[in-house]
Amino acid sequence: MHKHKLVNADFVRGSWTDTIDVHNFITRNTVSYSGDEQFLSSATQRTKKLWEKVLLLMREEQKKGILDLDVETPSTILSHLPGYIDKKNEIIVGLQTDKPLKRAIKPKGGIQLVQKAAEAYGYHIPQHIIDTYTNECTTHNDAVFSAYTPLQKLLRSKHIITGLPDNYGRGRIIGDYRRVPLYGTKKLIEERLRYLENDSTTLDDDTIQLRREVFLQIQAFRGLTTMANSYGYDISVPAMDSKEAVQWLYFAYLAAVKEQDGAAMSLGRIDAFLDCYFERDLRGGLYSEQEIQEILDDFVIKLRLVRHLRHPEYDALFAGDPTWVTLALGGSTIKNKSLVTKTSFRLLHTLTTLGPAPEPNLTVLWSKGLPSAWKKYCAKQSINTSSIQYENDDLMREYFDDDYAIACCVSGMSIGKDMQYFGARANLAKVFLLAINGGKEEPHGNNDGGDTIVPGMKSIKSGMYLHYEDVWKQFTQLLDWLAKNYVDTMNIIHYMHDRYNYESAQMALHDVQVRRFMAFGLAGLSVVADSLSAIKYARVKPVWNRRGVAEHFIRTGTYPTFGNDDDRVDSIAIAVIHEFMRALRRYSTYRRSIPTLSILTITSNVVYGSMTGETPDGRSSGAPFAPGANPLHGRDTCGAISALNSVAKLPYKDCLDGISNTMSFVPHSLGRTVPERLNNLVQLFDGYFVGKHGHHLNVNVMQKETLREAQKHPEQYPQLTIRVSGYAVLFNRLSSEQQEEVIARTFHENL
Amino acid sequence: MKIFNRGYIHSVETLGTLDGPGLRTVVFFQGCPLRCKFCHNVDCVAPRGGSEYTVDELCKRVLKNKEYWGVSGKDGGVTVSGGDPTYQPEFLLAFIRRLHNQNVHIVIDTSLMTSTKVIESILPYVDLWMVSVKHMEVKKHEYLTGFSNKHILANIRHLDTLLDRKPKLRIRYLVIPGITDTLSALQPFSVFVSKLKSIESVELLPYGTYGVHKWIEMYGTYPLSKVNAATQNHVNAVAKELANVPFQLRTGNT
Repeated sequence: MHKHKLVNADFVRGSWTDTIDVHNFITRNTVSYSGDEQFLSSATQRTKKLWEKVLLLMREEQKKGILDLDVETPSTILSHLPGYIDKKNEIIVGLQTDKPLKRAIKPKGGIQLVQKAAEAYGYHIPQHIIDTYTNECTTHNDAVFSAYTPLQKLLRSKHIITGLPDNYGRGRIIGDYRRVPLYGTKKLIEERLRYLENDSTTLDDDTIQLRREVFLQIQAFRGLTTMANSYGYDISVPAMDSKEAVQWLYFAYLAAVKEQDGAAMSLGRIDAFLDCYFERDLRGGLYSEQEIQEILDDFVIKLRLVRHLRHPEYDALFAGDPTWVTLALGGSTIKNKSLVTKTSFRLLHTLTTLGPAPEPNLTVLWSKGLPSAWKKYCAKQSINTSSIQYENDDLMREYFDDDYAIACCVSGMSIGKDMQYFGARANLAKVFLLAINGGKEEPHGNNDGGDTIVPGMKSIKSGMYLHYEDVWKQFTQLLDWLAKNYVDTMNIIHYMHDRYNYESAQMALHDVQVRRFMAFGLAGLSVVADSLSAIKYARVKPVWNRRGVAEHFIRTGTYPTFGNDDDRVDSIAIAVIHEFMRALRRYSTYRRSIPTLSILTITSNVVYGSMTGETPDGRSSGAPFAPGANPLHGRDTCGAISALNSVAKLPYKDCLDGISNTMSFVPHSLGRTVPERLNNLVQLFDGYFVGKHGHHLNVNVMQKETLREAQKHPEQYPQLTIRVSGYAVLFNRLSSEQQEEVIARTFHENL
Repeated sequence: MKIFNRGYIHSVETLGTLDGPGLRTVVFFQGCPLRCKFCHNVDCVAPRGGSEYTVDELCKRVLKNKEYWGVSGKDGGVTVSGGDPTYQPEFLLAFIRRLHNQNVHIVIDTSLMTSTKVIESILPYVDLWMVSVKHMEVKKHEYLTGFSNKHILANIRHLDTLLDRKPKLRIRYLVIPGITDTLSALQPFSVFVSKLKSIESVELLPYGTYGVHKWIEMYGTYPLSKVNAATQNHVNAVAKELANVPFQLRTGNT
């Protein structure tokens, strides 16, 4: 108790002192930094040696697929003994298992998939574990499939709704990991117990479910406390200094990634929070700048070591073994005070001290008034490493207040107050073809198509050419049909996930009562918009095959394409989104969650494209979609700014789960000299975010030739990182098909 | 409607970073009086072609990008290029006058193979003149462009006087290995620019072969096929020769 008082006494007091309120702590204690990066320290010898060790392990991992797998021990917060890379040289400790990069199984998501994944890498799950998770414990996967209707299974197997988290953890939940260092687990447990001791509520279904969850959350806190103890730390009390603050925070995150292997296990936003400790301890002479950097470097090494067991099909959708340890940086408060601190710089600086890497998924929150030195530093690190994504802080603050973070790629949420039910995405291009084909599947690959997916729809065959009004009408009807089935499917998935694979460690670090989003998604937007544009502005004649579905489209005339800042087609894209979102809002969602929509594909634009037949815009059967909300490759012909402007028109209010845009530049295209390139990139961000209200931008600055070289000599480019839709990936970990898609993508080069 | 209300525009590049300060929207005008053997936009040379725009339409189109031109609006803007924008003088004047009156920073990329009347008419609306000197020797200039350089050099001197020591003139010089980087080419160039009074900078550009495919598409052949692209070393060597020029020398060195 004495310690607790001491820590509180050092900081400016506020409502955070009495209630759980990290936001208030940050508001009271953060000192904005408007200087440049000159204060930063380079990596110490210790850091370099430790990172070298990790790199060697990673190299071996890449050769073998996975380095090691513990098949015996289903992972929980307490399942594994303490693990170290090199105990005496580590500053921040803790691994998911007892050895670095050794993966664990998390069969609560689904035992068959664990088996499949293990076998893909030559491991076998012991029979007794299979029996337990087949006969005694219900897994999330089994539970979902026990409730799916035949139609839901059909939509899934026909790749209309795809990538659903019904056979893997849903993820996308961000615990407020900062609560552990600020309060210690004892106080956090007490707060939960107080809720359970309250008799006055009506015990309806919702309340019973919540009480059960809160109980599980308390258990998670106890497990977390015990786990930290096994590493020799008492986290029941608040962190005393900078190092403890990072360590406590990491333990909280570690508990989450031991319990869950959700698709995106994001870290949240920690720069301003930790900076309060760092600046206090620097002032007090407790730590030097070099030591602070060393603590963060060590922490980031740990984040780069997070691994989950994935099966190969998963990898086809989300390539390169991503974990989405998304970390939001910078931004500002609702009163426009900058939240850029020295620690924002220190965290971006890890791309220099440790070299480029996909994880943590560094996400800069761009805001109009941020210091120009910070903006330039971001641009510099982007140009040097291609490892950063940018998101519009001014836009998101309106919906999530100023203490929000990003889950996965583009999903904003107030930290500790919002959670989401992740729903992957629907293949909108396929649904569009259903509209043309009267509810019948389109031909693609070796499949002649013709299977009825939506019974009772009339064919659109009338005359030679497709009529825009007919197609649009039929398509919007289908959007409604899709929305109903998509909502139903999500309701089942998340009902079961809450019951059979609950994220107790992460939800423990939320308020008891949270706001829930249900995050739908769509893929193939530019294909649909261009197809509709072709039908409207050119003439499109379908060629019907023997099964009565269109196998080919003949176009005469020209038509505007998405990505050229041309309202004639950009307005079509907007209308598609609006119609789909409107349809989604019509249906009731599990736990009254708020429906949202993302335009994001990860690397799945390749797989989705391969499952989709020819489209009226001229995209051939099986060809990839553009990633996220991007224009289709080669269709944006007026330069990068026009392409940005088209994407920026897509309305965020209808896509609250994010609008992903990925741009690749050759260095020369940003200017002749380095200072010019920095200024121009900053101006490009200011134009896109502040001027045009775009939501998200992935930036790659590299030569195509570098990628070709890396294909030929992967061993020479172990850390070559590239941003794809919403995350970054080591180029060498993409399949050759995905590598080709990345290279073929429009690289903006002006001459 | 008067005829000059319609312009022939080859294309618009919205991420222009190499043709003037900051981020620029570059409008490529159709038509050019010269016939440069090294032309990298040979598809812009013909007087007609591209898309037809009214001044209204073209202004509307480029102003969609104004948010990218910096807080002051002066860290970028519009560059008129081509072809040679002075080849459509009435349309050019109407276009840049309209933009300039809306505080858009205007750069013109031209060879100045035009009349003094045209130069004087657009003078108030141009913030930076980027004028390329192709070659100082008359014969070589004729060989490279089909015309003598006398008229061009006179126009540059005239413009220099009109600018009245306001640094609004950037002389661009294309480094073509073996052709423009010889001492006999560089010495007179050095003398010529040193006498100008309104220089913003002298910019050396490496000759590249990225326009060759357009020649092959249009004519099946490329007149300078035996000349290699310039490297940064070529540019640096020229910069060394021009070290005495009393102005900022842009070499693209990073």
